[in-house]
Amino acid sequence: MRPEEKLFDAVTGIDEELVDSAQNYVFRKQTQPWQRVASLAACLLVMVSIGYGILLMGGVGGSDSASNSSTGDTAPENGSAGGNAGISGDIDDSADAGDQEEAAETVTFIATVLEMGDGYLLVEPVEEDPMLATADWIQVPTGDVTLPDGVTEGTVVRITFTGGVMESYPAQIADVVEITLAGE
Amino acid sequence: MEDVKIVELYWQRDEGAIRETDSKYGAFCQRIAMNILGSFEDCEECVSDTYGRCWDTMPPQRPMSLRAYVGAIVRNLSISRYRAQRAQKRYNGAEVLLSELGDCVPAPDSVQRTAEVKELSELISRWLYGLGEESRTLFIRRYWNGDSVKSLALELGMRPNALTKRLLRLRESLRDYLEKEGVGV
Repeated sequence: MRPEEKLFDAVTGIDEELVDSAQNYVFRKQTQPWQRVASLAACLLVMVSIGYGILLMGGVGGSDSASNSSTGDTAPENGSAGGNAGISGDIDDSADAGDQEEAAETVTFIATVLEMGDGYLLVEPVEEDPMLATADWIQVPTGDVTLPDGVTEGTVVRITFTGGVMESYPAQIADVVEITLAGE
Repeated sequence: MEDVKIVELYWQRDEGAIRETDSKYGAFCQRIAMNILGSFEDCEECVSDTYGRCWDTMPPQRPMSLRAYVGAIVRNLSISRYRAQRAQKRYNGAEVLLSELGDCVPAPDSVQRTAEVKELSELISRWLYGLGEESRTLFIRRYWNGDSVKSLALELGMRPNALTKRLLRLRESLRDYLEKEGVGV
């Protein structure tokens, strides 16, 4: 009997409980990073289209009010002067808000260390961590941080970083701020 | 019908047990057999033999999970059939001769082999219990059910290539575990 055949036979004999639970399990679909970007882009496109539509309607409304007095009651709201002022005010507001939110967003996730390499850790987010939906294996650079004592393969750690997740396999993150033991 | 009641029918020697098993787990058995044999005709025969084996073994067996029990039977029968077919096709009959001569090997070898496989099964089970639920399910669905990488990737919403790598890591993890436990396959 070849070794792989022996292993194949051994897999047949695993616990019934394991087999049963595997048949009942429903996988949680993982969203690819590009899908999120695509959704975001689609939302942005819809918002821009609506904004452009409103602008266009405002312009048309203004000319309508000039030519047709029956729409005069709606004209002040949609009129070019008032409408534009309102919209430009909104844009200014959102731009201000954007400036305020431009500070780097920090993300923290909990993961199990799979491998300790030279200058990096390969980790797998724990089951309940939302990061698992982004990537199952993540390469974490450790050059700029101090690893806590006792980190070995299998240790559960809390990783804080800023910036995005690079779409590669395994996924990669940058700007790691801190790595601590998950229990701390 | 609940598994317990179907098993009870087997114990009462009621042939309705086979009908109930087929209605509840027929598709499940067919999928496993197809994944191993890839031939509908062979698959049908294996599933049919599975019901016969269930009839012969219950009693005395009273499985906790009928699905896992019939699944293991259809898997074993499918593997045996696959090996027999391979033996007939290759090496101008040399494998047939080897297989026939295998009958002459003293019993302790087969007993020892069975014990080794059983020990290996226990170790694999222990390793599986140590995995996260998703990884564990993935391993079982791939290597016990024989589901294709493509279908599993679709279920997970992953690219097949990414899943292949994930499976490779799981296999490497199992190899490391078995080495740590001092098991040579």
